[in-house]
Amino acid sequence: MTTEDIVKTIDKLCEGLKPVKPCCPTRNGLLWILLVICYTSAVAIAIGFRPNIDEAMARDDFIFEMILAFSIAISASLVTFWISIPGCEKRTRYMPVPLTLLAVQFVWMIERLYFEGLGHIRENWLSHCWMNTALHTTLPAIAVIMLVKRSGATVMPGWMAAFALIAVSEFGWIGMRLICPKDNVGEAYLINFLPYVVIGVAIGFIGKKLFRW
Amino acid sequence: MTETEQSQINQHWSELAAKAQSGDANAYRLLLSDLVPVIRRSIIKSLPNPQNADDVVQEVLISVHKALHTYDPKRPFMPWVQSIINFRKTDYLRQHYAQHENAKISLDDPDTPDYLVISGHNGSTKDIEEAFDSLPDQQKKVVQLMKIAGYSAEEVSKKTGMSVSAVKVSAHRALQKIREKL
Repeated sequence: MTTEDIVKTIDKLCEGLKPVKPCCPTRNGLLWILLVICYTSAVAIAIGFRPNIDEAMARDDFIFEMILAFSIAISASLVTFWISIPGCEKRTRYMPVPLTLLAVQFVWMIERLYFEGLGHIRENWLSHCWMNTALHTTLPAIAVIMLVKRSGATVMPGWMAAFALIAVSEFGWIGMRLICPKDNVGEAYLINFLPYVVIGVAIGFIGKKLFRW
Repeated sequence: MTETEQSQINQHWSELAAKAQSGDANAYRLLLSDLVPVIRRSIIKSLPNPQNADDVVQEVLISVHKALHTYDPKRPFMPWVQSIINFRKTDYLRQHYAQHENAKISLDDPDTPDYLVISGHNGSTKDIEEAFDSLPDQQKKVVQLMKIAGYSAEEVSKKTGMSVSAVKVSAHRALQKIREKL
């Protein structure tokens, strides 16, 4: 590689220059959040809300869990899109927000596990819970990958993959809480979160390659 | 360079980038040409082989091109381009050290090449002696003390008046030279 080669590269890049519209990660993030909220609601309506939804909505612990999951989902979504572009150092200061909320959720889960135990897990959890979880999360996951790959160019692929996973799983989990009548730790956390742990491990390996540019 | 000058350059690049985003090839050419020395200066010190700097410069230029749509002209230009430079530099270093032959060698315990300790080596004893004799006096002395007499780097440092790290580097280079000659 010589200076001449660099001049040639610059010439080539200038020849291939096309007008581009500067992307806005916040707008893309909000667009994705809106899309996922509509999709999750549509899936919940299509499958049918849980029969005891009124009783659940009257419970403080259920409302707390939903608000917590929603806060994690929103903050993780915004962070995902904010760190999807170079020069986002200032925005990285928001990264502890979803991580802290996620830690609160884990502490809450462990606390419930300690006091309530696992509870009853139905036998058809694979066909019921996991299939519905896949239904809730596949499209949002594809959408987030497409959006950040098309309009972003991250310099933090590992972190971005992690936050995207958190955002998708929290929205999916909210969707599951709307359709799954069982709120015990075994089903609500173990069975409904397990797929995300599996996906998370896989994403850990392919995340960097997935968002390479 | 004063802060005001730096801010002016940043502003100038920011304007060029905005023009490039609207399809102005001349502004784009000017911007990329301006960036070349900046990128080179930024990476050259951290590369194991400075002669490969232009490869990384080219990678960065291509990345700037790919990510041009992610730059917001309302924000300063330099942090944006610097993060791309750091990203590509890290990528390059990761790939470089992933290759076995580029693996980092500890200077605390430079390995004695196999052909110096295994009897089935390619060169004869005479070859080794010749290679050893061809070393500069200082390196010869260091190898003699460290590898033949068995002194530690600290002891050799005291005996020769060299710093400990200079002794280690000298021993490492001497062994490499011997290996090349064989």
